[in-house]
Amino acid sequence: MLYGKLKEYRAVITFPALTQELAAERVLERFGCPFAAIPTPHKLRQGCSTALCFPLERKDLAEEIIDDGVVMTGIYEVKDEGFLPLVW
Amino acid sequence: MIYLDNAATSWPKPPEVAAEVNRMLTEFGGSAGRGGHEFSLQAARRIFWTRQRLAELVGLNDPSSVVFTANATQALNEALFGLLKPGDHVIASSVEHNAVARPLRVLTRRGVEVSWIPAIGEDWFSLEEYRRSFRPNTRLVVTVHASNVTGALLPVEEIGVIAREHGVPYLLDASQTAGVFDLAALPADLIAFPGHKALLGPQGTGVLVIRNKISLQPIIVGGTGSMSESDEQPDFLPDALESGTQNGPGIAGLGRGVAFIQSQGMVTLREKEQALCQRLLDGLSEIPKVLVYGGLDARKKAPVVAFNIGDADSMLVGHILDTAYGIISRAGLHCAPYAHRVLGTLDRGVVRFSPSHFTTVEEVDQAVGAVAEIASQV
Repeated sequence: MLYGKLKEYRAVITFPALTQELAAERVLERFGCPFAAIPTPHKLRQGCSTALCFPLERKDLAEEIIDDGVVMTGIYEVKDEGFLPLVW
Repeated sequence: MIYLDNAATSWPKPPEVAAEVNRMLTEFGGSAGRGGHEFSLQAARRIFWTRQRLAELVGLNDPSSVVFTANATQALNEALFGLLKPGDHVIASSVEHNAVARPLRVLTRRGVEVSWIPAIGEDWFSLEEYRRSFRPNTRLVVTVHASNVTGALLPVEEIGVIAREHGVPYLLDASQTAGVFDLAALPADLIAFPGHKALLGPQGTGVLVIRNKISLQPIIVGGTGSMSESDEQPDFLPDALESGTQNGPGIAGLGRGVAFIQSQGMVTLREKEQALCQRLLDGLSEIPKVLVYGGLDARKKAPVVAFNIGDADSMLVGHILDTAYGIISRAGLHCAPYAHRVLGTLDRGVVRFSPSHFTTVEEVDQAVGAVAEIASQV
């Protein structure tokens, strides 16, 4: 079930810990990209964690986040019917 | 914003708490216990004042038996790693927070055996199983006082009495009950709690109370401002367990929080909190599709209310409460997978409301209303 900014932004990254999510936020901020921290969608989650969603049209920034050394557990495109691995 | 996450950390704090932290930073900024000059002594006196307030709170004459830590987790670690050795046996409940569960997990790898007393039905701690679980090498009993997930209280008086009958010390995790219930008369030998929840102190403060001269091996050793001619850790309290520079501003602020509770009266504050919790429980239990966990009687709980809406993911509900209604709750697993395993909610967690005596009736009603609206749409 899509909620909040997930419906609008359509790209989401999941992380092993909050520290990594916060580091990714800093990267997106550097590039002036809007984002929203959200609870990791249930289908992508074990336990509790925070995910980062941002506009799909800025998906190239995934490369910047990776280059910055941020550790992620997944990067997805958000469809109404589910989550697909994001390709950029 | 309606803040209902006091079980994580209390907010707001009484204004005198922040004022005291500020004074410590601006006026009494010396290094307590180091240097012997008046500037450091001024800071040390304010920390000692907090030590005395806490000793009163737990019914101790000797403030030295009150040990400051960074949080309840550190206090629990000091007790567990300080007491247990390979070959020891420890008895714990099946609903422990990770602050106990994770150290015990590590200790089992080091040769400590754990008996986890099961929850049976509505009973979160089977006293029958507990009585049967003692062994010749039982070295410690440890339980939580109230579950941080549902607020349900364990039978800690009975647990402590039975432990005493076997000559085994009892470590009580009072994280959700210090400042709410009277701990002074409880038959616990070690009590761990945070300063930043119901005691209304700043984050970065915790306490380990040590009764009956129990000796713990310190897990952190270093400078204590005492016996400085020696490279051996002092063996007297509190120095043995307080190495390094403390969070002086935090501890001083904690003292003001405790003093606030003492001046208002813990019983008075508890009555107010209990009434708010009962209002929450009554309101939530009337909403179709809402399932409340841990019983509907606020008298038998710490001020914590856990619920779910239908099959909805708890974190989704918590997110909607936050972003659409400005209501701050805590959803998910609450660092307590064992409790969620007992509840059957390990997959989706629960939503937790935890009011304080600063919460208003209107805020409780708004929270119930918000849950009802979400329930009608989910």
